[in-house]
Amino acid sequence: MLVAALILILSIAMFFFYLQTICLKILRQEFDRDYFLPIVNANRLEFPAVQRAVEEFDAPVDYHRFCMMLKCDFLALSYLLKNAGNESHRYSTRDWLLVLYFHLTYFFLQIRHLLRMDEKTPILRLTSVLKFFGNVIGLRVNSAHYRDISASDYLLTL
Amino acid sequence: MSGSLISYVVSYAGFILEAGLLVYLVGSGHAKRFWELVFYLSMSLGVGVARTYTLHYEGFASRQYGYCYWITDLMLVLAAFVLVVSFFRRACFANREMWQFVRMLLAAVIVAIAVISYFSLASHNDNFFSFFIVEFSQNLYFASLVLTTLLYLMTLKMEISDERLSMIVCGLGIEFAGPAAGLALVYLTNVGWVSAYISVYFVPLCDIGMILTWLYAISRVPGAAKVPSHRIGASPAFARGNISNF
Repeated sequence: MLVAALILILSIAMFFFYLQTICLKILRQEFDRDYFLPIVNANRLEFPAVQRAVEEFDAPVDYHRFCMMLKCDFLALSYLLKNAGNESHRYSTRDWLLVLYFHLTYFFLQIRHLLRMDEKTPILRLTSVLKFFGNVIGLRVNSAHYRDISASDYLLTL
Repeated sequence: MSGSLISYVVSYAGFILEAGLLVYLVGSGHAKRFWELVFYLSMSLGVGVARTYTLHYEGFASRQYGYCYWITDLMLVLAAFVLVVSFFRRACFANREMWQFVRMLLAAVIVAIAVISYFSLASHNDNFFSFFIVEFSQNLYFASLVLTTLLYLMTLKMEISDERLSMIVCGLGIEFAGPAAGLALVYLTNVGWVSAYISVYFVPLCDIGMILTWLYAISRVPGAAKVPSHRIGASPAFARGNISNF
């Protein structure tokens, strides 16, 4: 009984460890340039400011404000991920996994806030997910050819 | 969507993904390099066919299906053990001494599991297909999970970083951790519906997770960087004059 309980606890911990490692490995994928910058500027996203505040200035975490900023950015980017230059209008499997990872990290951020633990690491992980989404959208938009399509043509294809 | 339909979708999705990955490995010429994956996927597909055949002809409640399910489960976890061993060999490629040590350790692990199982079997032969085999599979999955974790740590310490191997090992970790936790939960709760949910939904979902991770690793992640060969080139003409023939 005790062995089974130990196996259960350790296996669950290892399951989440491997899930997180896979997500972090995906997030480590390098892009040849910062495709996310035009997306950030066009949509007035705030996650780079959050990342800079936490990383560079080592500012105290304004939990409620940062959470709101990250959540709003996530909503905007997840919408764009589905609809910007995406003919299927669906998430890919990789996107699904990262969306799940975002929600899990956000949940653990809330728990850490309640327990008054370090909040910077999960916030930085959330910003890295958003940056990855921005890069994916930027790359997709960059490689799409819109030169021959007028606005009315585009609207007719919807 | 009804529960049975979801269970069909989940199990057939796993089956289709496995077949798809196998075709991709063979079609893209990766089969020789990743022969272990081809072996494991073929085994898994064979197990799926055997289970479907037995289920169709013998029925879910039959003793034959019970035998078939647990024996094929054992075969699968043994195939996974072979997979782990081959990955260890790959990770120790540059270090023969380490490989000799690891080989001895792996042999000790399999002998220890066999001995423990033999004694456990001797005391549980009356209810072999109820508790013993659940416990045995759970132990074997957990042993493989521990070995996978050691393997993952070894890939981090490798001289030549192989992101692809590391990612494949992570997929294997998901495959072992999920069923080990599920089987432990089945053993602890001893409730029928928990067992059904674990075997019908959770284990196939872990299987899908592993296949997708492998597919991503093989198609998107670059393999190990080749070690630059430090061969000494031909000496320049002005230097040759300084080399004595005697």
